[in-house]
Amino acid sequence: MGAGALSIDQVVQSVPDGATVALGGIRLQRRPMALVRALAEAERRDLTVVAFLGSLDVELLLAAGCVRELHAPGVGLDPAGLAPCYRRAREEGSIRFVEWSEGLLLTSLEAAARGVPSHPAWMGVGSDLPAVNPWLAPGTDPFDGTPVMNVRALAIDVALLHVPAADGDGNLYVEGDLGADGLFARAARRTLVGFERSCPGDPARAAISRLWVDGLIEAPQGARPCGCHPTYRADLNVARRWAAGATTIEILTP
Amino acid sequence: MPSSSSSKGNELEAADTATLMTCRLAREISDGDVVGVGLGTPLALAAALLARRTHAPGADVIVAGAVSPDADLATCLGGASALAGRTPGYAVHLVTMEMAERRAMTMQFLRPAQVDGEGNANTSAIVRDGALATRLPGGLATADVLRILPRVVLYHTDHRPRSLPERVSFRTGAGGGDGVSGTRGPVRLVTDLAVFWFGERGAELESIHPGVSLEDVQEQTGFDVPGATVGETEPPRAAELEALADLDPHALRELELRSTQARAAERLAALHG
Repeated sequence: MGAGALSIDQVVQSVPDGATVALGGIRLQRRPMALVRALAEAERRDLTVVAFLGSLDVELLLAAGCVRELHAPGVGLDPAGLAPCYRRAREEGSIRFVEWSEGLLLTSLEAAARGVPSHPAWMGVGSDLPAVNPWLAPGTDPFDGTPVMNVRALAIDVALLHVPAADGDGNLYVEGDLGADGLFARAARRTLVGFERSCPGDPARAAISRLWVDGLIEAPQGARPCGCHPTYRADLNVARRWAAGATTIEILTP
Repeated sequence: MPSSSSSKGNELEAADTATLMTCRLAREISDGDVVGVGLGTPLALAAALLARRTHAPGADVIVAGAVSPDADLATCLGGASALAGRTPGYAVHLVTMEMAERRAMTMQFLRPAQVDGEGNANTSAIVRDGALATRLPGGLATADVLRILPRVVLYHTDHRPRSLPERVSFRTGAGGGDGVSGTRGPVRLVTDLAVFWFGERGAELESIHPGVSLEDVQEQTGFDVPGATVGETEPPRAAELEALADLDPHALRELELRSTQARAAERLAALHG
């Protein structure tokens, strides 16, 4: 408990080949791009990547050959276009893709955060998703017999997040949609967080408590070329170039 | 027009089709509805904003975590940062999923790549002749809301046999609703050619867009469309056009039609830099 200050190199050292890594943010907002670039440059291999609604972060790890398995309800560059590496990897079968819906992934994370093996949901009943996702098992509620989807907890080694602000005690402040970041922080064994700036804050208003933060990385501009509301916006020109096929680490490096 | 329609004698220009579909979708929203809309479906977002400006001012529209922001379509498409200071409340993603499960969200628009006559929806993968043909975006929220929301309105901007097949090649979400809890699942399917409603027998034709014939619709639909006498889809009303001119002056609702999407994307890029 309690967040130590880490360098980006220390984060990379602590994420071995084969680790299961959750990436925070939602679409082009608050992706942990500085940390992801460092993992790609270090040529990490065989990662299992978990993303809620991933974008350039997942794309970069796919382009750099770091990913063995991907758990996601979708990866896209809205409003700049489709995610070319994601599409290609699935069509070529070069990675194991475990398909989730948004709500079922959140349910799985909730189970992990609570430390229970699984959690039921209404979502996905009657769908074909269990055929492609072994974390899903259709069943019936033991009390009233209604059909439910049982969702197994995903075990996550490390969650990498990026936020606009952290206070001196390690509490995190976010404006706008938190996405799945709160659940990632509570579900993962370790949560490492890049932040734009340190500032005094009211811990009662923190989006994520220091209780869930294991390491803090001072990383100004660390989400670029994605956005970090309210500090800066996503660079849609970069996202459009990537969508058009310019899938190199250079164009993602500010 | 989408290429699939140009050969069908459809006299509507694509821009008019986008406007007609937006207005038709908007009329599905009732005052008091709680509607979730994503940034990936600008035409549905235009419809939701339009409903609040016209007949359903008491509906709540949740977009990019913001609840009923006071903003036009272009601003909404800018996401959370563009909506800061313009919204009376927030409902983050996690909360909207909870709301969906307990039906506190009352309706949603979905645009799957494939819809069949039973209302099953596919956003995952197209399989042709037993082999994977195309990977689609993925599960998204389709499996979450299709069956469990009180009402889901499906739409498709490229009505052709492979978009509306007899059977979807992967059921990302199951149609038909949930008999136990009484949800209805998909209630309407609005395409660039026609409007269907879903009853006990599945999809049935409700209206056909101006300039489209019954034969056009039958020819372009993979599931069975029995011959029936149905009316023409009601054209946009004056009040709807007036409201649309104000809330979507750049016609970004055209982002989802194949023949207009490139130019609409240029207009969006010019606005957002």
